[in-house]
Amino acid sequence: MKGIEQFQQRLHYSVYPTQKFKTTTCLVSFAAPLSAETIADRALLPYVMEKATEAYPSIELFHTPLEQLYDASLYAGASKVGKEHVIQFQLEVVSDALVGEPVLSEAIKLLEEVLLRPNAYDGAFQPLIVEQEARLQRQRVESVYDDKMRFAQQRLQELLGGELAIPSFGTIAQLERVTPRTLFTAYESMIRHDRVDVYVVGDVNREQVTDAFAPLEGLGERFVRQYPQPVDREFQRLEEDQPINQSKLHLAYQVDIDPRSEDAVRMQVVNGLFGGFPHSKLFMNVREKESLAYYAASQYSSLSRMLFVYAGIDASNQAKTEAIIADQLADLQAGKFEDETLEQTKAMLYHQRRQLGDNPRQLIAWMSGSDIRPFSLEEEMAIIERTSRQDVAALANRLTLQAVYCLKGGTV
Amino acid sequence: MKLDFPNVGETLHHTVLENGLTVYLLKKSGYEKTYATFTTKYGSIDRRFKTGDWVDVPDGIAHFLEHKMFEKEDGDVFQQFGRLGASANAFTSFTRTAYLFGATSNVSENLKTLIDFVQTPYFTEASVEKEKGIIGQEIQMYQDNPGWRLYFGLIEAMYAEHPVNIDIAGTIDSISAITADDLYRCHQAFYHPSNMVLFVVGNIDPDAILAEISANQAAKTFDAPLLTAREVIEEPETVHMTERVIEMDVSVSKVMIGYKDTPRPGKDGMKQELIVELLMHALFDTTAPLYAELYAEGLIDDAFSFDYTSEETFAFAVLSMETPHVETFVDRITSALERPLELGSETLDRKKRMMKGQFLKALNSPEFIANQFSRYALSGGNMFDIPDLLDAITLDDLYAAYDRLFQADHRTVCVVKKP
Repeated sequence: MKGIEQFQQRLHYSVYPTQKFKTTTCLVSFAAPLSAETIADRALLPYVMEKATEAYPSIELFHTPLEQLYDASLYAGASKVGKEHVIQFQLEVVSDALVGEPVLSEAIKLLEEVLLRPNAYDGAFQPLIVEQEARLQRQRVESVYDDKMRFAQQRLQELLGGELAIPSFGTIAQLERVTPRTLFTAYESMIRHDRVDVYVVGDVNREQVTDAFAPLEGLGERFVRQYPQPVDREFQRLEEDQPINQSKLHLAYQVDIDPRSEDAVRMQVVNGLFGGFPHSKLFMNVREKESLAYYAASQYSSLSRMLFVYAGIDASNQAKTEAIIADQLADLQAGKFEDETLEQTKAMLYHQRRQLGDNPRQLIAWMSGSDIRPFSLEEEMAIIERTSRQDVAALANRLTLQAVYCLKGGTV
Repeated sequence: MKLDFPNVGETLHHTVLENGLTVYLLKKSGYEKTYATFTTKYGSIDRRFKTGDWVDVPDGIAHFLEHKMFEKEDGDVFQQFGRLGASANAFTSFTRTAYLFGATSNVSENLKTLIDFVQTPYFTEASVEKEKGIIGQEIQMYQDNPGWRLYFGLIEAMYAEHPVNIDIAGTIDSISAITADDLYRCHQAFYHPSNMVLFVVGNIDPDAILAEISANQAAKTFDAPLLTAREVIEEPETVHMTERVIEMDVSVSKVMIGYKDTPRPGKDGMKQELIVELLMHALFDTTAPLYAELYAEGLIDDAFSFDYTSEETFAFAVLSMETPHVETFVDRITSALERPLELGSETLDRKKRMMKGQFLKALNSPEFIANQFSRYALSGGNMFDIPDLLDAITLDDLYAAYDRLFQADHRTVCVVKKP
């Protein structure tokens, strides 16, 4: 994307100055190597930190000035990104010009309170907040069961093992061992050893950004981003029953492609033909032709070297649906698809890339992937444009079915 | 007509064409994407209406019609949009059906595709039958979703007569009765240009786009509008049932407390919506005294949310929570709402700034602008009046809304829990 400025003081900054938005959006991210041992503490940490600070020691006291700043919104969260664990603090404020007040600088001060002066004493976070947030986190872990698509995807990833199988919030047993003290240890490690990146989109310039975030200079360490290597796996199949109406069929294909390569970009074309869009083979055949499903789609995760397929079906149609999915992939491998479908897929992929710049959060998500992704948006579009039928067939042959999970209903 | 809204930094072009179609165009400089919605004032609640005679149609037909609009004699409309690099979609609510696309190229062709496909019905018995399998799976999917079951369980319990108490998609039984003729009848009644709003937002040339739309419409002929009346529902002000329990295999119980409100049409409805939203923010945000009290006891957390739905013929507030302590949660909330309101002007002013900020931030999104503007426009309001309307709201307005809304016989509690 043209117009993104990236530079390094001790922190790494990515800034996109623009006047087209009503907002200024800032994101500070902390990345550490993914580890099953620390994930429960790290996943809980942002929820505890965003609630209160030393100077504003309760939710009520801390959120009042945020509301007063035209709803300066602070979202904190954590996620697994390939081989890393990333904690993010996102601040979104109305742009100063629109309300005639210096909202941004005031809000950044509050964000810095969260990051530098948390609500902790003698090496421990305030127990009341930790207790409530840990309880809620346990509930989040358990309530995956209530969202059958998420549940099925989690079970599929457990079959695959490795980083994919590490539960995002930690296990219930791990969460029970989290204390105000272990959480503070995780906090100290985060600000000392994580890789810290700052992203800003809005009506700002470089100096304004570095001045505003100067108090964060000195945090963290720079290290090269890690990403998953290919894994040897045995094919796995698991079927489970639950008292539900619609069965959830989830498939995982390993993709033998380096996430930093041009092939990873071309693989987006393969995914688009397979199941990424309403014109894709899965939607057209599983849904439109056979009326087997309301949704049938695929998703390519370059970083985890996986392509996932999902469909919500009647339990009695499982074998038929699997056969149709396999046929669609075989067609791609044989180069059997219309020229027009290929062009349509490319047009949709251009569209997705061109519209990224219209949404500050999407733009930041794109920028935060740019140190693993060696191509600019324009370069990616050129690679997509050059992708041929032969490329698609060759790449489709690098998909290997690794796991099938079916959550079966119909026993109601 | 060009309308300037300097306090939100937007300029809107507004025209009503000769055939009755309302057109809004909004230029967003610097945006790559153009987003358009074509919305009819026709939703799941419109099950009995007058076109000459009174007509009754099967439940779920507005949503079914939305699905079938995409299929034409020469193929699927998704494909046409796809060839032009646009992503298209549609949705049906209680009161509206909207068709939409987002495109970063070929805007004129995509806009023509949108208008033409929505104005050209094509249904066959075979394709109607085929769709029943797909929508059947959609209904099954929602049946497994505890949040959806809870929400509809609540509305069913709140409303005795009003068809808002029927699932938007209908049931597998009700849709089985739908025929191609039914679809034509509904299209004829509700897709007349005079019942629709077209909204285009993006880095567009408004005059050029308007000329294209006008030419497209002038080249088509439309009969006079057929729809002369919609069923008027006599719905009691109090709730149908005060409690409802739905048994499902869930990990943690989910609860919704609903308060039924008196709907108000047009601009008054918009003002009422803002008043109740300010009130609910003051009462239930993380900065409210009640929140702090319940948080300390482990009875409230980030799983809590609240919402106010306001349409011309129904309105209700919902508080939603997931907790193993449903009874205590409900008891604490409802008893707090039975005490007189205590609210100062400092809180009101802060909540106004907060809601103004939320509104301005939402204007980054072309999707929000087109969808929400159309919603207000179809019931006679103008979304860009929101900042001024907020300014005019007083503490007395909030006190009056509190006394009207939070009455015990306006309250329904719905729970989804393990058998």
